Amino acid sequence: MKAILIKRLMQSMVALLLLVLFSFLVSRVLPGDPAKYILSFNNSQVVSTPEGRARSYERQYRKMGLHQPYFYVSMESRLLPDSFIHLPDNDFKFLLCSLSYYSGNPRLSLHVTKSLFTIKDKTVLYSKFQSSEVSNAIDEFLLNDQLRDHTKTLASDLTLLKLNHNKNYWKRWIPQFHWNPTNQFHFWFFGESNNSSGLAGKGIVNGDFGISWIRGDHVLTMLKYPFLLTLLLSAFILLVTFPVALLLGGWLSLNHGRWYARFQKPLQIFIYSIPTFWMGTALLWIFANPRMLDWLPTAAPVLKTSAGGLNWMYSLISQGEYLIIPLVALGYSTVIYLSQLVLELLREELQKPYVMTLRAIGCSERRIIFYHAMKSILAPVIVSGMSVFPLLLGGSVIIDFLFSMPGLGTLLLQACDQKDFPVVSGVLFFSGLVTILSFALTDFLTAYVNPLIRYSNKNKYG
Amino acid sequence: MDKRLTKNKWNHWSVKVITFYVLISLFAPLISNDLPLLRIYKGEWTFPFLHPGKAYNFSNDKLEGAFEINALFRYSSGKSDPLNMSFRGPFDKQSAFDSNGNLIEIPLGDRHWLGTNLLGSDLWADIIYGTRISVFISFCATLIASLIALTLGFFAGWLGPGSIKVSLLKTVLFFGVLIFWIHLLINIKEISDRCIGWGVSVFVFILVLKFLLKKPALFLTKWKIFLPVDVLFIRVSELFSTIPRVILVLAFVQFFSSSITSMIFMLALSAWVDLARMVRSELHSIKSKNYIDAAVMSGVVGMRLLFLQMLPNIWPTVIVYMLYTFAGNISIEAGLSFLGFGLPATVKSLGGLIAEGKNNFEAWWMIVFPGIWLSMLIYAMFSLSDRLRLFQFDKK
Repeated sequence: MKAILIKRLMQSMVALLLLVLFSFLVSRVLPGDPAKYILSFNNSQVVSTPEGRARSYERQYRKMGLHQPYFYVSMESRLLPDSFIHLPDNDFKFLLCSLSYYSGNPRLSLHVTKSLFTIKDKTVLYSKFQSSEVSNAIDEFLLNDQLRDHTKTLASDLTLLKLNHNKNYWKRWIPQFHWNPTNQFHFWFFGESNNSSGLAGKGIVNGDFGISWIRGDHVLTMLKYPFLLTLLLSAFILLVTFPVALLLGGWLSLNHGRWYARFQKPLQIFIYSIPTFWMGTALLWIFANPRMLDWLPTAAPVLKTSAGGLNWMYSLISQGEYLIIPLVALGYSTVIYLSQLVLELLREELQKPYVMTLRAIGCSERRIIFYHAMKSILAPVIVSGMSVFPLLLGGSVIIDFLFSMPGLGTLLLQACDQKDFPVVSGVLFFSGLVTILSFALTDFLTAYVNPLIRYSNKNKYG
Repeated sequence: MDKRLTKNKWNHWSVKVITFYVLISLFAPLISNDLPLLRIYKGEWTFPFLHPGKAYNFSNDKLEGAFEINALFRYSSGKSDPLNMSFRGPFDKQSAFDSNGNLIEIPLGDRHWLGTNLLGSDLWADIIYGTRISVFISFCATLIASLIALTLGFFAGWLGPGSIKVSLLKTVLFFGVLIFWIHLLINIKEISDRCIGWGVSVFVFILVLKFLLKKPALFLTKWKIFLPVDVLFIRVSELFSTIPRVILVLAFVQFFSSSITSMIFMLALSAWVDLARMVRSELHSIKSKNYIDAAVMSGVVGMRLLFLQMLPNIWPTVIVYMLYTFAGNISIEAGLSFLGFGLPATVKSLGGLIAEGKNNFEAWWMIVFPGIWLSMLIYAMFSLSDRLRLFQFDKK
């Protein structure tokens, strides 16, 4: 039994690893400067002078490890110097890149770029090299007396670069690999234990998902209550829909062949094909509209998530009327999906020999369906019911938006709107994690319940 | 014999409904347009609806003595009708100018039959233009998704359950060429900056692979390694199926700017999983069938076996799944534009119309009509796929 559990968990490790990589992509590679956002929250470090500001920015940049390469392996062109990926400044990188592509001499280009960056009027220089061709920029630079007098060796170096033009051009087609023991992914995942490197952060293995760029809170604390609320609602819906779907499917199977049972399938498909967001809107429009039926409140305005603990649970339960429409709008498709599944499974089950025996004995049809057949189809229904879980999480995004509930969806949509990528990646990671674990658990339970799977050596997944 | 076997499985009401929707979305500019379709003026034939940039006010500036053929509904999507602004309903009083410039009750032919929105644009025009956008996006996304799914599913199903043994040299060559290609795409500016560079490099990549992998050196083929292609496929598809689709697309949205093209690719990237899994499992079950053994014995191997023997047998199931994917794509696309993500604000979409109605319950027509219109399309698709699936089962 333990072996099955461990095996299943090991299998989900690969998906988990891919999930981690994807969350990292979302949190780091997307455009935006984390260091700048973090600095704006640290009021104690506000410095008025531009030099001071630049210095504190540099410190923060290094503290977050943003000067490191992204991943363990990095690939650069052969024409770039070895230290290229460790360079902190993007302007510097760009200039160096264009110069070494132009000249085919990485070492000299690095030297020239360094001395170019000692010149005070950096912006003019940079824009010149960015806007025009490199050779034109060098010519202009050499003609400008004021700049040339500043650094005489630089002028000679630039002339040398010009002479070298197109010499080692072929080298840029050859990729060069670097192994980076310290990189952003490693730091993001494992964190840094010793403070000697100047990095600060615990890594996501210790629950540090970074800091929200907009609100400045830790992502984990922001995620805690919305996630709990959404999980609770999804679990509640699953708990309610299982019996309802079983009863509905059994009833439909019992009345199979009646005139009204002919309409059940088209009707169920029609209700199933209504999109969640329109169902929610329509329910709101009908039941929470003063001009139609004014029975229920529109949105859940209170549901304070910050209180925490028992108070929070109490407020959730005491405001049950706010949750009626959201729960119906989230759960109707699950009920129909599961009841159709139950119906099909029952139809197959009722053709088995043991059912014929039961009928011969004189067992009533109701007892056969709801007691004998239901028992044997319960396991596949539970497995399929767990596969609805991601659908529920996705639907809750729309439901949260519609009813302005403080759930996962509101948090995610807000973060997407404000380009708050650490929060987006946190939501992505946790929603994936929960479903992966629930799938693993379902498979394990199936194996636990069913001795056929338990004792076979064959692996279900290839 | 079952009666259903002799029936045509495409003879169903839902096919007609889907055809109706497709025709509406194809000919939306001909059905609803504020510009005349044809104008004959002084012996000169012009088609003003092809040049929507030129303003043309139909009530006042009708050319004297010109012969015009107008669209059935004389409103375009997103064009404001200043006299019927701020949510004029289908049964409300709507007004227009007559030829002398007086304010009158609108003539029956020019009525906004489904009402107007805040800016006074006609809801019916918005609906059919929105359907055009939704159907186009979902159709392209479904095509791309099924291309991805068929390719990956074929690979995983063809290479069998478990890991496969392949030549070491072939593997090294394959990954070498792959890495070089990625290097070209990332590091070489001339290729990475241009669309044509990407296209040409893909073509060259495939060509090089074909020639390199066709005839490897014979003396090196005895070294083999195990590649867990199938297992890797299962795990990747597990990842894509565990993250909820809405959340996945919302994460993809961050990587692209909001446009129709990026929406198509995002939907396609999140939709391929179910179809690919189905193709893989079907291929696994088909591989052990007797007729495949017979085909192999009579000398059919490789691609011919795959495309001529195996693909025709899984094709009906593939079509059912493609219909599911199509319907799901339409629903997800509408949901995303309801949330306000994915499409730019200037593009009208069915979800966006319902979102407009959600903010204003007085305008019931903004909720009811687009919602029913959208649900009917999805209903037709689900019904058709259900019917096709039942035919599948009956044959078995």
